Amino acid sequence: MTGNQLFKNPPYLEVAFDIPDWRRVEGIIRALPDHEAIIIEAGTPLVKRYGVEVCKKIHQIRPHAVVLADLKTISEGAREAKMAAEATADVASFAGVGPIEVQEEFIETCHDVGVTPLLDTINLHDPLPVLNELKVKPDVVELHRAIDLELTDAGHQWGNIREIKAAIGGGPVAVAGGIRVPKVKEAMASGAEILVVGRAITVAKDINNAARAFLREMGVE
Amino acid sequence: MISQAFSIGEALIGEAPEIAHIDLIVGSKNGPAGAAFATSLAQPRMGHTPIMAVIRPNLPVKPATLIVPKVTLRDLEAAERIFGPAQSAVAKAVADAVDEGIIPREQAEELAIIVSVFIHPRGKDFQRIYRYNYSATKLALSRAMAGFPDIDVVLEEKPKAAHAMIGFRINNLEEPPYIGVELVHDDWRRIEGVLNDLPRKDGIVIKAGAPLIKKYGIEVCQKIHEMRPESVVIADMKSLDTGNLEARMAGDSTADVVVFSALAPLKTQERFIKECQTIGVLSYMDTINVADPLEIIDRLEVKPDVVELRGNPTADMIAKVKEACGKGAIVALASEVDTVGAKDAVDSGAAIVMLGATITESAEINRTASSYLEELGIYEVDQFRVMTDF
Repeated sequence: MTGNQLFKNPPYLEVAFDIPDWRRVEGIIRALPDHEAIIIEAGTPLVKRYGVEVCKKIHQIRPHAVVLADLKTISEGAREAKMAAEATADVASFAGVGPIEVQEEFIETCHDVGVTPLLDTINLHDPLPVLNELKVKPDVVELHRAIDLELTDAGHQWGNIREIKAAIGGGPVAVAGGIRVPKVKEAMASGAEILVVGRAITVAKDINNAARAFLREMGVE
Repeated sequence: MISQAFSIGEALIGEAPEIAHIDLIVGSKNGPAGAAFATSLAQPRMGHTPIMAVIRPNLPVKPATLIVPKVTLRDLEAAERIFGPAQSAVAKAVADAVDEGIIPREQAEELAIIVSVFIHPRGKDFQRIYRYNYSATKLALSRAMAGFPDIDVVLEEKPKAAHAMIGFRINNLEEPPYIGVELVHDDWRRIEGVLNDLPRKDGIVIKAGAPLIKKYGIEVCQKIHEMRPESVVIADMKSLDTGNLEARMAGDSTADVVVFSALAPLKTQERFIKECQTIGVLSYMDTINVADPLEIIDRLEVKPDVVELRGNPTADMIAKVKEACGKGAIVALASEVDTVGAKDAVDSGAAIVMLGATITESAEINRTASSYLEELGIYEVDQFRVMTDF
């Protein structure tokens, strides 16, 4: 499925799991509302801790959920894309700071094996030149502010979402990094169709309600 | 002659189970050694009653010597081993040390000695217990008096030592050069085959590639260590975010060296390196798609221990990277070079030559890897060393 088909009913709430502890993750996933607008992201530390097979384990708990393997690939593009497919990931990420040929290899392999490729812009100041240089385009772009920068760098770079959407043929743009409920409207107004939320949900005491607060603000519940 | 308040000696002699392990303190009765002697004698603890070393009953040795059993004495049988052979062996060793001039005769009244004695509960043979403890005590005394080992010896031997109990050497890239073997397959059974075929040499370090980690999880490092406990394992996390979390995860799964990407935000890189320092593993900078690694290193507040360069860096470039990273930093070259190229890289200052398919896809993995080791002149630390010096 390509990104346009997979994400044909925006907006979406992507719940990101950066907690490298499966028992906690399992409990949180079970507590999430069973809503078609929720995408579950197996964060990079979770994948590196348990292997990409965590995607399969997430699908065992939530068979219908869209699961994103946050591989942030910067080398071995084809190999890592195939691994994501074998582990039943619906979407797989690569890093836009990686070598162009690795990114192209990743995107092409994703298309071959039926996984939606997502370009993650971590530490990439402007994704447009990279998107223009790529011979094949990713289906989704995630504007990503590193967790390590969340406390220091206050500004979001959501100014050119519409241009980015155009560069990838209309596919959705996700925004990540410190998004809380009051920021939802602003993010959506700037054109974002996928909101990536991590600890605002996964570390909440009442997980279900925390997720619902986002869904309500997004107007899908 | 003792220049400090007291001197310390240690020695291990003999074969199990009677093997003797002696730790001792020798110093003036007027200093901390004397105070410890008096306190210990006045305050016996259950199972660790200190006793005087005696040449024979009613004849204590000089300098005055107190024996403290390391293992808790639970029955009379255990007590007999201490009050019999060990007690007289220690006394005889002290007396002989004076006789032979190891301890100056004129200090026989001035000094106090505390000897901590280990006797294994399964040690039964009095002949062995006596001889081993005699030898170990005398050796420990001569070492204490000579101030052995001096710090130069400690620093020289530190990377070469294999601990007797853990059975392998923890050697964290202190004895370059190394051949690195990067495992990028995402199929553990093939990896196992490669690991089995590789020569068992200290000169080989193993890099768990990013796809391997993402496929099976970071615990592959532990699985590699199960097969090759002595090998340095490099976890190729290529971290781009959550630097401290990923570094800690890799350290927890026994990785010796952990890789981050120089493409990551500087803050992530710095947090990664600091976390590596906290948990005592080495940080390793991957420079894939980085035009100028030096520029990034210069901007980092804390510097990585290892920098991996790609392609064909000049000796000048390698020297600059090492200088920018500070004392002890090393450079790895990731390039599928032949043996001559590997030699050139090491001659240019690289400490690790990182190879991938050249080794793992070779029809004869063992021979290919060995040819690199030979070309670089990498031999086992202990291979040509006779272990009788101490």
